[in-house]
Order: sequence, then structure tokens, then C-alpha cells
Amino acid sequence: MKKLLVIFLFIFAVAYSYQFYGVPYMQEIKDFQLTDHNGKKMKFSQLKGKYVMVFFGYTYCPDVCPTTMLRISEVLDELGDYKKYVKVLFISVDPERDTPEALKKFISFYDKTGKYIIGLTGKPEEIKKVAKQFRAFYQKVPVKNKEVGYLVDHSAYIYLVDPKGILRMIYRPANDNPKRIAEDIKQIIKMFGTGE
Amino acid sequence: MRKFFLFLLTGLMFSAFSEPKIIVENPWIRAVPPFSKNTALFMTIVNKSDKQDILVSVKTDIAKMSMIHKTVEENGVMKMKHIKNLVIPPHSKIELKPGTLHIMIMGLKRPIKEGEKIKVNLMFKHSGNIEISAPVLRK
Repeated sequence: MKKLLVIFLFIFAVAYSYQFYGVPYMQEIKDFQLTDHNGKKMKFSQLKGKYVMVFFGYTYCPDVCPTTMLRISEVLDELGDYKKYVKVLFISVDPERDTPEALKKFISFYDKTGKYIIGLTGKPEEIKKVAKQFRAFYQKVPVKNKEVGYLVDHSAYIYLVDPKGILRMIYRPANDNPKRIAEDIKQIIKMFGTGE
Repeated sequence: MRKFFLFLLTGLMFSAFSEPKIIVENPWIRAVPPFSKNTALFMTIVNKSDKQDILVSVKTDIAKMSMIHKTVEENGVMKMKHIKNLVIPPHSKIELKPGTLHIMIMGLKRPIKEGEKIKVNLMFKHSGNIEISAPVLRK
């Protein structure tokens, strides 16, 4: 009982002494299945035991996604020893153009090791369901020049899901400082465990 | 004759001072994965004159289309707004940077490589065509 109290006090002390950079959240993410960048079906639950950073985007994205993906790769670098507890999911909001092959090339640009970032695509209705859980929004925007196709407006939050599948933290697009995000993740791992 | 010459000279001087003077600082194009069709150009445009100038169009040989865009956040959703004319007020500078104003380069005709320099033509209403060389950077 005494031991429990000490642990409890410790968690509170950490929680109150550290000001999170992201917005704390608590929501269970229900399992879903999409297709990964190798063309294999993948369930979200396969990542249980890892902290997962989730980002919705598309490979044709000219400004926002390349910025966020670079920030995410910097977060991974900043994590140092904690990197092994983390995975990143890049979920396409443009499944028509984002084939597994396209995703593979895209993510390998931001993760040369191929160990940390996973690209996911799927049928439009599958993506829709997943996005709904995260309250992510996306919408096609036509471009006048037909040759270049269309753009996609989309929400650009980074979500952090814990090893049990609970959404713990949300980062707004303006809160993309890699050092601060990495610091948050380290704190959360210290508070909730490595998941292993 | 001398009077006329003086008149001409003053006129020339006057027009030289009132002409907009545009300087483009630190242009760069974002490195994107090799197959990517779209990227963006960022820079600071400085207007050192007493007159406003307007960036009306952007052209580069490496892409099918370039547009002035602004990324706007609305409740976490990043939306692209097309800017027809980018006004550079007198004695001011406008920064084009990730997440806000940028030149969207769409339909890349070939992959761009980190470190290479890309020629871009900026057409200003008063200053005319300004050619810049923008390095491709991963940042």
C-alpha cells in the first residue's frame, strides 16, 4: 500500500512539474485495418506495445505534409534512446493516387532506415472510417490546370497513441517544434511505461 | 536646348527614384521524394522603393505550373488559398515560408535533387521579370 502511494505521488509530481507542449487527450482508438506501403494488410492493433505518432496526409502535398514529415523525422532523431518505443503512421487521405509503391518511396525519404515510419492506404471508405475516429477532415480541391490534378485540404494534427491504443496527445500544426514533441513523448514514456 | 536637356535629366532621375526596387532574398525550394509531383518555393521579397509592386506570376521550366498560395489553418485543417496578386508594399518585405505564403510548384517534369539550383522567373507588375536561382534544400 505504501509502495502504491509512493508511485502515485511520483506520477503526480511528474505530471504537475511538466507542462506538456501538446494537448492531452484520452480516447480509445478502435482497431482498424488498412494496406501498408508493402501492399500488405495491416491492423492497427499490430502496433500495440508501441507509442504511435499518427499523421494524415498525401504524397502530392506541396507544403504542409513535407514540412510535418520533416518535423516528425526530426522528432525521431531527438528521441535518441526512446526512439525504439515509437512508430509513425502516415495515413493517406488521397488513396486514389497514393498506391503502396508511392507511399514506400515517400516514407523512405523521411526514414532511411525503414524501421519507424509506416505508410498506410486503402479503399476510400476504409480511410474515411479511420479518419472519423481521429476526427480528421479532408476534402479534394480541384486545381484549374487539369494536367496537375487536384489538391487535398486536410487536418494536419499529429496524434500520439499509447501502447494500449489510447490517444494521449494531439499536436496542432503550429505546435511542430521537434524538440518539444520529443520531450513530451519521453515524459509520457516515463509516466506510462515503455509498453514492453 | 540646355533647359530641355536639364528637364530630361530631372525626369530621368525622378523616374529612377520612383521605380520600385525589388530584391529577392534567400530563395529555396523544398526537397521532396524523387517521384513527388509537387513542391514549393520560399523566399523573402523586399521592396526598397516608395511604390508598391505586385508579384503577378511565377514560371519555372521544371514544372507545369506555379501559383502563389497561402496555407491557412482553420480548426486544424490546412487549406490552400490561391493568391492572384501578391502586393509588396513600399519599404517592406514579405516572407514566403512553410505553412503560410509560398509559391506552389505543381507538376514537376523531373525529380529535383537536394543541392541543385533551379531557375525561376518572377514577374512583377512594375519591376518586370526577375530571374532567381533557388537551391533545393531539405528543411
